[in-house]
Amino acid sequence: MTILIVDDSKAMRMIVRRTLHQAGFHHELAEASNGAEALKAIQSGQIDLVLCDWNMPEMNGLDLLQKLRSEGREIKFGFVTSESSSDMQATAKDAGALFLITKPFTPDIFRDVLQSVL
Amino acid sequence: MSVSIGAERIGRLLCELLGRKVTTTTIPAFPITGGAPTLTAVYATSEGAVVGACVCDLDFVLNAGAALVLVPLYEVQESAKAKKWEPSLVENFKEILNVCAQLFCEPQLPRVALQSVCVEAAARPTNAADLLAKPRKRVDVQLSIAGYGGGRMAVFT
Repeated sequence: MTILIVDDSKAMRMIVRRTLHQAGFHHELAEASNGAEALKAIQSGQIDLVLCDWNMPEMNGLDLLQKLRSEGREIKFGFVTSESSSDMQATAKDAGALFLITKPFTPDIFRDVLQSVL
Repeated sequence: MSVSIGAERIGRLLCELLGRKVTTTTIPAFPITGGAPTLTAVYATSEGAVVGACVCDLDFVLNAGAALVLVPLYEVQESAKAKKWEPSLVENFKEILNVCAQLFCEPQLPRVALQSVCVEAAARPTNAADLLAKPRKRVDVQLSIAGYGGGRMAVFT
């Protein structure tokens, strides 16, 4: 099981890694700094779950998700983002995201959300 | 309708983000020009309307930027002593500022996001000048991050 962490902030990728470990998820982890990089990683590798920021350069998280679904890829996908509005939540769900975790997050939140997904 | 921002809300957000205790105290307005170095973050709606700004002193930027990814305290102290914007800590701090957009968000109001960040008062975006000069509300906070140091932040709306 490999989780791909997608965020243009290196610091946030590190925090997501740390939080996953603190929440008890010791899976293989991979990283990408934008949607385009993530798409390549997903197309060429064995990624089982994507934890993706929303706002990123090159290709944002929503565009990535829509691209994946348009290619028929049903990979598990969730947003980890500072976007917290109900509109964003609805947009994410409509596009096929399983969940949207709002920053700041805690290990408990990761555990609650990811337990049913992993 | 406007957002309500106070020391307690700022402290709670930072505490959750940094994963450690952050104490906050409301203080009198500190100088944001002509004195010690400050970093300015401007927040705007999707249409580009400026709705808020944060001005942070060097100590807060360095300490919070370090606490976010557990950079050793001595690295912060060296940069603070030299009054130097350590690029990696500033980069980390931008992620904190990104999350701080939530301070300016309310369900009934338009979406607000971090629009720009600058580390020199002279380079502040002109679209924030009015807000910084004549805010409807300004809250100045002294922050202390457990295990690190503290600093000051002023929030303008």
